[in-house]
Amino acid sequence: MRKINCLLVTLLSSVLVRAGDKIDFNVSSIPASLQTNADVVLRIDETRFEITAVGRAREYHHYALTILNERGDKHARLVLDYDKLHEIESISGTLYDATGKKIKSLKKQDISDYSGTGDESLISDDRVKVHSFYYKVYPYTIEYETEVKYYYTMFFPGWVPLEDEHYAVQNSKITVVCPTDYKFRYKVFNYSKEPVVQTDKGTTSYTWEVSNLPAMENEFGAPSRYEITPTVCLGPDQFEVEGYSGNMKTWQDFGKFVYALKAGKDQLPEPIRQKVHQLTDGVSEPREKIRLLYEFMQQNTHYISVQLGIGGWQPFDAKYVAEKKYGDCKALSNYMYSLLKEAGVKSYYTLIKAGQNGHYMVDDFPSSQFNHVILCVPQPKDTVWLECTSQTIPAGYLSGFTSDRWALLVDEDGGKLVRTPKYYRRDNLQSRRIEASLDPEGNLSAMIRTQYRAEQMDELESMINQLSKDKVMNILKSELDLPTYDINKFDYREEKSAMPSIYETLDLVAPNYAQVSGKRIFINPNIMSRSRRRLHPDENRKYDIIGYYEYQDVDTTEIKIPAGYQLEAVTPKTSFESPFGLYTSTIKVEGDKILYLRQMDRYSGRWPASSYSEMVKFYEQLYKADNSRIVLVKKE
Amino acid sequence: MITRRPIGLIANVLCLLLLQSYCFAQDRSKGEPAKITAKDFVLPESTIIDSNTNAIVLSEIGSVNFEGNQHSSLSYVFKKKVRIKILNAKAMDLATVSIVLYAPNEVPEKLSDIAATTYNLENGQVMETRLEKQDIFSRQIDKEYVEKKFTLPGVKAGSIIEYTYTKTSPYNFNLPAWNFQSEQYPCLWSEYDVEIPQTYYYIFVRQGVHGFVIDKGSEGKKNYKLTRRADQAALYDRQNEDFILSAMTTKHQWAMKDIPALRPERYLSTPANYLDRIEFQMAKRYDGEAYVDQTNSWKKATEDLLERPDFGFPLQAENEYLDDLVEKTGANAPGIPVLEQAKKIYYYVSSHFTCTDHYDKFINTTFRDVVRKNSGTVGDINLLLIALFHRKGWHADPVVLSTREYGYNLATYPVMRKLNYVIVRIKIGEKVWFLDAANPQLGFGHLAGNCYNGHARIICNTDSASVYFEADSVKEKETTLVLMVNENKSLTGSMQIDMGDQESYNLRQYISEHGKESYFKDIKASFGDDISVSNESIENLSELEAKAKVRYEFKMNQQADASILYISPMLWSDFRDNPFKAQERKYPVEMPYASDKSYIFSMDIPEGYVVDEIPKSAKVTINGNQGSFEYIIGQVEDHIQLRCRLVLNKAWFGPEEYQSLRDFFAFVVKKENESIVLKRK
Repeated sequence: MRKINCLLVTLLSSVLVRAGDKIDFNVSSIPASLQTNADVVLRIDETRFEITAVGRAREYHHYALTILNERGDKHARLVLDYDKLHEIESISGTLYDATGKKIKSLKKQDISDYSGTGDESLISDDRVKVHSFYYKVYPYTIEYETEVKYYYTMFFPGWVPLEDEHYAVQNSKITVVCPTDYKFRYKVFNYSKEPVVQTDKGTTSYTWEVSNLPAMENEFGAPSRYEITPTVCLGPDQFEVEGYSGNMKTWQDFGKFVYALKAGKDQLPEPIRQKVHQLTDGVSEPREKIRLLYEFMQQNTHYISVQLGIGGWQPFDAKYVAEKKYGDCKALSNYMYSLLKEAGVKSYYTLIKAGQNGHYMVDDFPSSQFNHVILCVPQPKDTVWLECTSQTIPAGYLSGFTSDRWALLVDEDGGKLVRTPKYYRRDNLQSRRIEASLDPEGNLSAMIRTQYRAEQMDELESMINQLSKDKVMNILKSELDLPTYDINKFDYREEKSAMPSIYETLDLVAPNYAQVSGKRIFINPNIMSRSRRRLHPDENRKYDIIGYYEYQDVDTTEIKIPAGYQLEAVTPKTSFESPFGLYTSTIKVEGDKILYLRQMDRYSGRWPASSYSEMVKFYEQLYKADNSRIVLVKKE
Repeated sequence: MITRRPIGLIANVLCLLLLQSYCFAQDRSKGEPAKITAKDFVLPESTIIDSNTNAIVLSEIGSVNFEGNQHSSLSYVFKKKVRIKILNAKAMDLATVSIVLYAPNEVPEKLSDIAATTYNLENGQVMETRLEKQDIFSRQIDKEYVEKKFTLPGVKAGSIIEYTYTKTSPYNFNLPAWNFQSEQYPCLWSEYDVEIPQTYYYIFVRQGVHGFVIDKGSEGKKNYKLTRRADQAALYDRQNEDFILSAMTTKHQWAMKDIPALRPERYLSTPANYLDRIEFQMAKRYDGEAYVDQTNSWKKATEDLLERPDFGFPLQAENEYLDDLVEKTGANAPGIPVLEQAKKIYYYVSSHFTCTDHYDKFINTTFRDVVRKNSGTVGDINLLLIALFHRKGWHADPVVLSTREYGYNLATYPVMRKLNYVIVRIKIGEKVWFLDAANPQLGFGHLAGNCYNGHARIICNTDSASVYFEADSVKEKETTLVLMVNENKSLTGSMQIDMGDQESYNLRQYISEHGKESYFKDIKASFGDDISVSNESIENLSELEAKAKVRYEFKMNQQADASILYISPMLWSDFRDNPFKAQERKYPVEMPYASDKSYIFSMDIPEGYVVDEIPKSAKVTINGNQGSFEYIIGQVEDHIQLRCRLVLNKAWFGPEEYQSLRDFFAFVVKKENESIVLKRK
C-alpha cells in the first residue's frame, strides 16, 4: 500500500501545475469573450481524485479565480467542509492583483474553523474551514490549493465547471486516478469527447477537460445545470464506509448496502409491540391498520436530527425511537417500518431526493443522490406513501416535498427505482366562493370560502399546524394582497385523506376597496385570486422551460353593489389558452350584483426555449385579466 | 435633547445595594417547586392562557451565587430550573435546550449538574423519562464558544418537561441577564435570586411593563475559599495556596407572576427593547484595600474604554507603520485641503476593508493584522480610521452606540453590553463629522439608518459627551417628476426620481449586490407590456455624498382609439398598499426616518379626447402637524397636473397614535389608486 502511495505522489508532482509556479494571472490574458456578462472567470481549475484503496481516497484541488467586480466577491471565499470521515490535509492560497503580480499568501491563522451543524440538527460532526482575502480592488485573482483525505468512497466529486451564472471558465479539468484494476463509473453530459486515459505502473488516470466556456445567465424555469452545461458524474462500484462495504453498480446493489445498514434495527420493545396489536388486531382492512399505526407514530414521536459519522446513513434502531420518542427521517421511517412489520404489513424503506430540486435526478447513474427517507407501503389496489417526519400530514399524502420523482425502494433483495405519484391539475385544486357587498363609499365586506386540495394546501398546512393561532391571524392580517383590510374571523378545517383538503373561511372587510368617484365605481371583481407574475422578456432565451407543478383555480364571486349602476367598460368574457395554461373569466351585472367567474388551469410540461415569448405573453395576459378594474357608471 | 419613550419601557438603573430593604423576617417565599403529580397536568385557570397558547412555562427559577475559583478570585454560579408544559406539537422546539459557553482554552466557563426529565401522564400515572448523559452533545462553535445541547426524551403533546443546569463562570463583570417574559410563551412564575459578596457591587437595569410580586433584599454573610494555583505562583512556590474570604453578602429576590407572551409586531426596531428583563453590570469591586469603580459612570466608562487594549489604548500609540497606508490613500498629495485629505482616507478605508462583524465594537486583533487581512469587526475598521486620522495629526474620536436592531442603550448609565457599534467623530475646522467606514456604500458624513437609535457617547479625554442620533431627525426628501406628452398618437414620458440620502444608500446597497441591470429589469417587469421603458440611468451612483437620481423614459402602450381611457396618474408609488395592515398595536411604530415625498405628474390630454372625470383634490393631516398628505389635481387647457405630497414630520409613533396613522395611510392608498377618465370626443 505504502509503495503505491509514494508512486502516486511522484506522479502527482510531475503532472500538475503546483500553486506558486509561475502562471500568468494577468487579467489582460483573459479572452474578451469570457469577460462578457461575467462577474468571475475561472482561470485554471484542476481536481485530482485518487482512489488509494476501496475505502480510501484523496482529493487534490487547485484553482484560480479572477474576480472582475464586487458581485463576484461571493465566489472569492474558500469554504471547505470536513467531518470524521473526511479530513482536510492542507490549504494554501495566494492573492494576485490585476496584472498578475502576487500581493500576498494565505496565512494559517487567517483560516477560520466553524461548526457546520445548522439549526435544523441537534448535532452533527460537520465542520467547515473558511478563508477569504477580502480584497476589494477589482479585478483581482485568488488561487487556492487544497488536499482532502477521505476515509470512505461512497461519494466521488462531481464536475460542473460552470457552477453559477455570470461565471466564465477559461480552463477546468478533473482527473480520476485509481489502481488499473479498480472499477468506477462515469456519465457525461454536454461533453462530446472520450476521457484521456493514461496507464502507468499499475495505476490508470482518466481526465476530462474544458476550455473557454463563456458565462451563462440563469433563466426562469430552466433545466438543471447538468442538462445544459458540461458535466461529469462519477461513482464507484465497490466502496466502503466505516467498515461497511457496498457496491453501487446497479440500484439493486446500492439498495442491498442501504438495507444492510438497517438490518436488525427493527426490534420493538414489548410495550410497543403490545400497543401495535391492541391497535390493529381487530382491524381487517390493511389501509386502516396503516392509518392507525401512522397516527400513533405521529402522536408519539417528533423530528430531531442527529448525524454523527455513519449515523448520516444509518438509522437509529426502532427501540431507540420508541424510548426517546424522537428521531430523524431514517430513524422515524425505520420505526414506522417496524410498527407495520409487527402488524404483518410489509413496507419498504425508501430513499428519495426531497424538496424543489428533487425532481432532477440522474436515474440511469446509480449513486447516492438522495437526501431523505420515506416509507412505501404497497397495497393491492394502490400504494400508500408515508412521510414519517411530519406530525400532521395525513397518511398516504406525500406533498410537493416528495411527489413526482424517483425513489429507491429498499428491502433484503436490494433496491428498485420507482416514481412517486404525481398530483395532477384537478387534484391541485383551489376552489373559491366569495359573497361580498360594496357600500356607496367603496368599502367591501366579504365572506370567502376556499377549498385548497393537495399541493395547493401544502404551505397552508404547515402554517396552521406549526404556528400558533395568533401568528396565523397576524399573517392573514398582513399578507393578503389587498390595499387595506381587516379580518373579522377566520377558520380552518382539515380533511385528512390521501387526497387531503383544507377548507378556509375568511370574513373580512376592505375599506376603500373600490374607488368611487362622482358618477363611477372602479372595482376589481377578482378580490383574492390575482396573478402577480410578470416575466422578464428575453429574446435570447437559450434553454428549455420546465414546469412541474400543475393546478386549477376556480373562483365564483358575487358582489352586491349600490343600486343604479351599469357597466361602462368591460370585456364580458376573457379567454385564452397557451401551452402553459388555460384561462377563462366572465363578468356580468345582474340587477345590483356583479357576477364574476374565473378559471385558471396551469399545465405542467417541458417546452422549447422558442416558446418563452409565448409564456411571457401568457403571464402578461393573465396579469392584465386579473388586475384590471371594471368601471361601473351611474345610470343617467 | 430628551427623547420620549413610553413610560414603563424606560430601563431603570439602580445600584443593587441601595435596594436592600433589610427585611429579615421572611427570607424566601417560594422554595423548590414540588414534585410533579397527576394534578400538575391539569391546566390552571389563568388569563394569560388562551387558544393561542402552545406551551406554558410553569416556572422558571434562576439563581446566582458566588464561589472562590482557582484564579484567586470569585466565579458566579448560575443555576437554572425550568418546568414547562407542552400543550401541542407546535411547541416541540422547547424540548431542545441549547446553552452557549464562553470557553477559551485557558479559562473556560463550565456547565455541570445537567438533569432533565419528561413527565407524561399515562392511565393516571405519572411516568418519568430521564435524559441520559450520552445524549448531551457538545459542539465547538468556533475557537472561543462551545454549545452544549440536548433534547428531552419521551416528549409528546401534553408532556411536562423539567430541566436544570449550573453554569460556573469567572467572567463576572456581567451576571447572567434574566428574562421574566418570553416572546412566545406565557409564564406562570419567573423568579431570580442573587446573593453577591459585598466585595462586588452591581447595578442592574430593569426594563419592561409588568410588576414584581416579590422584590426584596436582605443581607447575609458567607465564606469563600479562593485558590491561587501553583502554575500561577512564582517558580519556587510549587503548591496551590488557599485563602478564605469572609464577606457580607447582598441578597435579592425578584419574582413575577402570570406574565403574558410578548408577541412581537412589525415595524418595531427590536422586540428586545420591550421584554421584562433585568441585566447586571459590575459597578465597584473591593481590591483588598478600597472599592475601585468599574465603569459605573460615563466618565469612568470613557476612561476605561480609552485604556482598554482592544479599544482606546492602541489609539494612543504612535502607530508610525500606518504612514504607509496614509500615503497609499493619496491624502499626502500636496495642495489638497484638509477636508479632501480626510475624505481620501475615509473612502480608502471604506472601499478596501470588509466588515465581517457589525456587532463587535472592539478591536479583535491589532491594526497591523486588520491591514494585513483587509477585514475586521466594525471596531477594527473604524478605530483604524481614527488611527489613520491621528497620523495626520487630526482630532478624531470613537463614538459608541447601539444599532436599532440591537436595542436601546442608556444615556444615564454606561451598560457596555448594550453597545455594539462604534463610529468616528472628526473635527475639521469648526465642523464636526460623524463617519462610518464599515459600510462601503456610505458617503463621507453619512450614517446608515440603523445608527439612528437615540443615545450615543463620544469617547474622548477632552470633550466626551452624549450625542443623539434620532430617526425623527432624519428628513428624507424624495421628489418624483413624471412628464407625459403626446407623440405620434401615443403618450410618452419621462420619469425622474431624486432620492434622499437613506434611500440612495439603500439603492447603492441593492445595486452593489444585484447590479444596475437587475434593478431596471425589475422595474420593467413591474410595468409589464403596459409601459415600455428606455434610456434608463442612475446619476450619482458612485458619488456617495450626492443623492441618487433615477431617470428613464417610457411609452404607454395603450389601445389606440379606445372610446374611454382610464389613466392612473400614480405610475410609481410606495403606497399602493397600506403599510399598516394590522388593526391594533401594542407597541410603538418605529419607522426609519421622517419623510417628505413629492410626486409631480403632468400630462397632455391625448388628441381627440376630453376629460370626463378626474379625482378630487384633497388634503389631510395626521394628529395636527405630525404629517400631511396633499393631492392637488387640475386641468389647465389640454394638460392635467397632479401634485401629490406626503409628509411625515416624525418617524416614531406611539401605540395610541397608531389608529390615526393607519387611517391616514388608508386615505393615502385610496387617493393613490384613483384614475382619470378620458372620453373620445
